Amino acid sequence: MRSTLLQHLAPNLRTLLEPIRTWELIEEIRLRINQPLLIKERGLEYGVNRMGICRVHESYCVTMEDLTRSFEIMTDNSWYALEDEIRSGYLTLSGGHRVGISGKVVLERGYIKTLKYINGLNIRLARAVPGAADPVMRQILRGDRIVSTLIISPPGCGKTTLLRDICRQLSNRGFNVVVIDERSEIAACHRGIPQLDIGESTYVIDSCPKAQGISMALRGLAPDVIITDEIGHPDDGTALADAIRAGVEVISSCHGADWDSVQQRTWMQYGRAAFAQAVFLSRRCGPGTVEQVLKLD
Amino acid sequence: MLRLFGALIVIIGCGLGGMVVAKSYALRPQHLRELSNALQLLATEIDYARTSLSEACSKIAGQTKGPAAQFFAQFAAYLEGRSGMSANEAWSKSLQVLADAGFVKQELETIGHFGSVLGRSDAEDQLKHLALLQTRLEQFGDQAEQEREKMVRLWNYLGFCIGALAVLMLI
Repeated sequence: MRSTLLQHLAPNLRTLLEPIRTWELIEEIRLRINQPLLIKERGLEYGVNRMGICRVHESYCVTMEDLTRSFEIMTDNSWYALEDEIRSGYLTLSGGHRVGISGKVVLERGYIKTLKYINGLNIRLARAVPGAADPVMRQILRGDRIVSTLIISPPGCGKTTLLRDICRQLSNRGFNVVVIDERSEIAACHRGIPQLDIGESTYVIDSCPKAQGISMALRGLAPDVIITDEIGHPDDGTALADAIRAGVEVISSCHGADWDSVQQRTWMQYGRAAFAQAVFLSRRCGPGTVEQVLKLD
Repeated sequence: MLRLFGALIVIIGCGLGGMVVAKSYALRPQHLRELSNALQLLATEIDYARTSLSEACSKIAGQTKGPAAQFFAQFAAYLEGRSGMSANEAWSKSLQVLADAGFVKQELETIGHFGSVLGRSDAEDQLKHLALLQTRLEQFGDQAEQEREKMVRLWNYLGFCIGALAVLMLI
């Protein structure tokens, strides 16, 4: 993991980050122009300097050169080849690591055309957690039947990690799984190749809007189950309900603190019928803590 | 006898030197054309396939001839090196190949300047910069063509003339 990530950073940052001994705990690396270099471990932020991990105010200050060079390496010196991702505000690196981008937005007729003057990069380290879905697999797979499930939690509680492991386990048990990976987070595809283990019978429709991806999957890939992340648009809800009507189960996730707040979301008017149960996650005992499984009737 | 032999060597040596200079004038328009064609291939790779720079340049090196092929091969090798070298640095370092092939200072500066924008913007912008560079190369090509017409014939004769003059002065 260390080498797969460090190769994407400016040589100066590589030198600083390489000696860190707790790489397996790092969740995020945060680069902001003229601000301290930060890493996030177990939900807490630390600085990094020539001596290793330190307090935030003692951290090395990220320069424009560090940021620009890292971004050039991450884009393989080919910004034009990643226009759509940059416009959406993120990149997926080989190894599955995901980079959020901030900078000045250039608009054209009210839509984002591109970003310029990149001033921040937030690197989320991709890590498959085999077995993360063990606590919920009995609820999701009853006998040989998959139960359509919505996973709900605030950001950072392990929804995507859980979905990925559900996908892997269902796939390895012989179900034909289709992942609609709009933001390349579940399979973390790099140039079309999944970088994380999503099982042996999984098709990935990468970087595709969920509603269109679901239609594509139903038309051509004969799925037993469709897995997708972070529903938010009413079209997503409609497409998921269509999948259920077509006899395909769906497993998905959305942000939310509790069932009441989720029910108020617009997409629920269309997609509520798609789900038979909801799983609530928190970070109480670390990311992926299952708080409740709610039956929906 | 020995003098005659020495005189012949001087004349032939100077004549060959002149021919080498003439050859460099004869090849310049061709080298510029080949580079312009390579840039057109790069534009196509960017426009239609959105191929990454290192992959596109490696491909172009195989489809082009002469110094342009060596230049793109060298550039792709630097990018693929994963040493953290930026496209601009790699482009600038690769220019040595063109300098060795006889590209003149003004041409090298113009080509070098393009390195600072290469790969650093969206496709639309890259294509505009590429078109601009190609236009400049065509202008250099026209100048090189005019020089070729004048200078090739001149240097083919001038070398031998200088040789003959040197012999006369030495005798």
